[in-house]
Amino acid sequence: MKRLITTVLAAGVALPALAIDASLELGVEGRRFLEDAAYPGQVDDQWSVYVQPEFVWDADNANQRFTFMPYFRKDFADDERTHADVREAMFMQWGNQWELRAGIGKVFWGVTESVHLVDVINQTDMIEAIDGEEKLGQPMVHGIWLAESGTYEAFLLPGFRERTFAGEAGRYRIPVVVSNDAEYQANAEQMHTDVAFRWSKSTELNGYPLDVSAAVFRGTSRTPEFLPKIALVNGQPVITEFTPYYAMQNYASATLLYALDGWLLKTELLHRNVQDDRFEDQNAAVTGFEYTIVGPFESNLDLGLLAEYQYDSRSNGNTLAQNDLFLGARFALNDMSSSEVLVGLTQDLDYQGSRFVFVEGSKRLSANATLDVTLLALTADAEDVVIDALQKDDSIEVGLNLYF
Amino acid sequence: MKLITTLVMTTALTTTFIAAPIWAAVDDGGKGLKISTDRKERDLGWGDSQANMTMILKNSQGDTSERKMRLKSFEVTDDGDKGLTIFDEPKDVSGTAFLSFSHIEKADDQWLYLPALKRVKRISSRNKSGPFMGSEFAYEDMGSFEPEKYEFTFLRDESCAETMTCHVIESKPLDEFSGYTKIITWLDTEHLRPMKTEYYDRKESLLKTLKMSEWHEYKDKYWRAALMDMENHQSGKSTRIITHEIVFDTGLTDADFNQSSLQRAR
Repeated sequence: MKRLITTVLAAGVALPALAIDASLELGVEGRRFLEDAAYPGQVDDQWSVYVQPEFVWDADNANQRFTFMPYFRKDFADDERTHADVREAMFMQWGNQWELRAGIGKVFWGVTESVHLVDVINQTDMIEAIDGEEKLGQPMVHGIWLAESGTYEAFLLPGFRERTFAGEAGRYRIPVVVSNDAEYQANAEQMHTDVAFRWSKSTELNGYPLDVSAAVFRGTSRTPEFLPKIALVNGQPVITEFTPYYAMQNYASATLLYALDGWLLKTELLHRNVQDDRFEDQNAAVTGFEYTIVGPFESNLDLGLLAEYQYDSRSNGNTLAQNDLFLGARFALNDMSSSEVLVGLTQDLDYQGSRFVFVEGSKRLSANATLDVTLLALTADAEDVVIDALQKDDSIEVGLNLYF
Repeated sequence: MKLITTLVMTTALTTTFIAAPIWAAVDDGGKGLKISTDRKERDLGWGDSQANMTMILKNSQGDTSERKMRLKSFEVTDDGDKGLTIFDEPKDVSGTAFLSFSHIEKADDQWLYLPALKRVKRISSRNKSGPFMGSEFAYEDMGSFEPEKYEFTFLRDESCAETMTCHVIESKPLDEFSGYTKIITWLDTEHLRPMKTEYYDRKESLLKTLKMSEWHEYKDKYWRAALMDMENHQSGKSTRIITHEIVFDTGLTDADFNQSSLQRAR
């Protein structure tokens, strides 16, 4: 993060002085799968490395900035997981009440922890992490207007990113590989320009903080439908491949967060009207709380208790979160190495045998290094097709990250 | 309807009664409150400031760990101040930023920006008694001093910091979520600067001592300490905050303290 002050002079014209910040993150990740693979060709161990440099040019005395953050992961087991992305290449300019961003970037919408239902701007980089927390860079023009009545944001989203999926050697996949040749409902296919608007406001109710937001989006669905490709094998019809199909959608969402003393009460609501009648519309909600206990058991730790209920109107096979309960506990040890442990359980309330349990731990090893460890265990009822496909994928993952 | 009114009235009366306990500390004739209000008034009008800081955490074995951060502060008339803390080191948290609006009469607003997720997350204000970035400072030790949040008792005058005389004042936090039952502050009689502060935990035993030193005067009026040493007597851990540089009147406005500016803080 060394700050280099460079004065740029070009053809006798003095441009604003630029401060350039450069930093680098890189790491190595190892996964071991604890059960024999469900499908032929899948690996038991998976090693990979990643690199993510970041460059930030800040104009001195002008509210302008350009950020560039490419990303590359080399996976030694699954070729599909070897991938590069521009996470950010964004120009921004701002005044007291407005901000304009143009380029490639990431935007997060939402308040809940167990699923990010309303977060729609960026495509999920699913092959990077199955928890859905990693996103692909999205081309956008993003305008922000700050008013008394709230923050208004408008998005123009030219260009679409396809969701990433594991290849044949990879774990966390369905029995049949997902094709790389996606199909679209939009005539312009990947080049369709989507639009979105969002309003958000931080206010109060009975003297306690209340954050509300509402958003609409029209364009290509980030969630693919899957079209089976059927061939005759030994005279029997067999699904040989799934083609991702991205339909057009009209989307509306809302979020609520109420901070009542130690409680954070959170709700996300989503309606998705899929324009292709072959596929179901979606009405979904996630609601719950986070309650923090400071210094329990005479210790120095913060203990965050989480509970969220997930509902989705779509039928089994399209979602994991149709009628599920998530329970979690986050332990922040408040030690010098910022150690944290998050333990979570998602229990399906329709299929009693379907649940997944995870433990995520992280700590700082030195001023330049962190370590994280994730344990994931899944069990499934046979009728619960999505999670059943993954049930041999219990794993332990260890990541070492370096920062310069 | 009448019943409800009666109930509300009764509750209000009960609350008033509890708020003015008969076992209150020795009546100091309002001297503790007067000195504390005077302390606040002397510091009014500072406007805005930006500071560069290093925080050094030390555990009971003597191992140390450093955090580097920048703090932007904005004075709000008739309410608590606004603050934006940007973390530079350790590098894994670089770009993480913390926005807080202190309030006198209601819960504080606090948000954390997590740059990897581009997520702004509201933090429960109940966390005020929790450690700030793993240090011996609690979030509530970092906020602006607001006399409305305490009940004061003047204890005595005594010599302090070698050559000075200090007023010794006891403050009891009125906020039920404070981690302290009482705070004892040594204010030098000349400038009313907190030279030493003792924090007592919920069991009323001495938890921490804060010593502030290397005072500098800014704008001919406002005193700031370049060294803050917090020692935890129960855990044996300590934290030092060094302010390398503090600049006033930097042109910050209210617009530099919102969730949008939080996301581009660096």
